[in-house]
Amino acid sequence: MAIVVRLDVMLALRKKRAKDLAAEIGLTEANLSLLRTGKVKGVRFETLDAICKALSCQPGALLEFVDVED
Amino acid sequence: MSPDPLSSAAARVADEAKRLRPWVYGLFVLSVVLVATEIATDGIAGTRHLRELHDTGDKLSFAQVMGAFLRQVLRAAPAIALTSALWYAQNYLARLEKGELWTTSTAALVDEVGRAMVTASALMVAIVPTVSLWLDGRGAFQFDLEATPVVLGGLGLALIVVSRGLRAALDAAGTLKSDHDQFV
Repeated sequence: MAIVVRLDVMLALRKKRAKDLAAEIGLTEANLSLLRTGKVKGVRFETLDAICKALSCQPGALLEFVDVED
Repeated sequence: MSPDPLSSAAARVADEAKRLRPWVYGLFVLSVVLVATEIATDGIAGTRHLRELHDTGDKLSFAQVMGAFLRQVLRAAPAIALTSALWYAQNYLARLEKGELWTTSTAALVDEVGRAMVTASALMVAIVPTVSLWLDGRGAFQFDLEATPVVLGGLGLALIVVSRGLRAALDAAGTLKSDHDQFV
């Protein structure tokens, strides 16, 4: 997959713990951990919206496209 | 986050099953009591018949005693098959109550209900009349083509077809659910 999740970077920049973010946006810690490690098939706009609101950032700051050969 | 539509569908079905199951279970218990009563009553009548034969001085053979016993079992067999259908139906509702809506083994219980209905129908139409003839030593085959068992068999077959369709739909739903669960 060429989409890399940069949620860890944003969490570090905002000095927020993943546990606190999960509680704030109403996602389970397990699901947030899967998202952080990129082990999900997709992200709902609803989740993206909540994360962007909580971390005051743009979706582009959370997701990055890396052109890699399969 | 909005509630997961698949989980809320399972919860709705579980509520419905919770309401229905006591009724189906009650019907099952009632059927067991009725079948047991029928067997006991027939048994008492059969024993009386055998005692009368014995009192007239006729020596009872093993075949006569076994014949009387088999007739009682045969008479009750369709009712036993239908009672098992009620048991499978209440098992099905119990699975739904536990939230096991998306499993093919749950759908297989619908198939069992259909099979029990077809078995009851086959017993009423062919097996009981034919075996009764054999027990009487009159040989050959007999088919009692009455509307009730034929309709019952038809409904059973329809239920088997429905359960196969349901199983295929649940397979697809299971795949969709596992895909859906990988979206956060």
